[in-house]
Amino acid sequence: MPSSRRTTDDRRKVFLNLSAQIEGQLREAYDRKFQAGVATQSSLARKLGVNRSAVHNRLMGHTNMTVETIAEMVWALDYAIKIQIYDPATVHGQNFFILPGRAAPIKLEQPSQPVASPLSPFPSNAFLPLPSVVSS
Amino acid sequence: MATVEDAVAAQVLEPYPLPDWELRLPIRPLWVAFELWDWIDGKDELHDMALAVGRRTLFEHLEQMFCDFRCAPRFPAGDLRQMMPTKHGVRSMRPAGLRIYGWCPKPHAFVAITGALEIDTKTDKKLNDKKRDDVLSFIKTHKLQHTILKGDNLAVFPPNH
Repeated sequence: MPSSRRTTDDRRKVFLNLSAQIEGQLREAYDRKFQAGVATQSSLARKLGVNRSAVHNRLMGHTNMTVETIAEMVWALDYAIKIQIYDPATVHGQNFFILPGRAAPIKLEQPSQPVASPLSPFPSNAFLPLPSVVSS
Repeated sequence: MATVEDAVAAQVLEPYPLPDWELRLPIRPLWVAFELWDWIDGKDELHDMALAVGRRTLFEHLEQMFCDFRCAPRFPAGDLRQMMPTKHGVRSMRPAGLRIYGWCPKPHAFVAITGALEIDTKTDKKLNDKKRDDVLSFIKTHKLQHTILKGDNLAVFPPNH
């Protein structure tokens, strides 16, 4: 394996994976609108009040977008966004996130009795930590 | 007469291995010459955060483009361009700050042979021609001339393929 591919640490991989997902989904959303003839980079730029090159750079991953910028791009495309942060140990095919070097799972204190939050229909300990699958 | 698979067997090309953080399934083949890996390893600029674009190094952009080529349902046509003269069928891939040179052996496939920094191609006007000739030399050395797919982006990315 080429040496350049060995230097990406787990922390960096999460960033690369996240940015790839965001830009990839933005490009696909834009492409659907473009194919339907309802959006161009110029029309998005006009809607957002920025230069067309700014839209191009965002779609091509040439900028490190803020959360606000991502939201504006999604809004300009008339799309919605859904974020999911999860424990990779619970999802098949995510093992690269739980290789040695990853931080140990956080152990949560369990209250003796389930307590329902006034804002949530679930008891506060409804989502129990799963047993770790990492063997050290 | 040889095939790309023969070049892989002869260990001058390898199928591009997706990084482990890429969760999509590959839908297009991409081969990389070992000399391109050597070039990547030898160019400090590719791994220098001071030259990063959008907080990602040039190598990370390259890796992202290779992943998109392999996995994305649609690949931006502007990122894979024919080089002049188009009769040779050499194409350049354009990740941020870089130029990657190669050719398409069939629709929805690419062989990456060598690369250059974009800034070097601006200062040295003959560098693009030299890299194009390097690709042609590689093709000739390994007897892969018959694998060159010529034509515009519709030939590389036919809509009903």
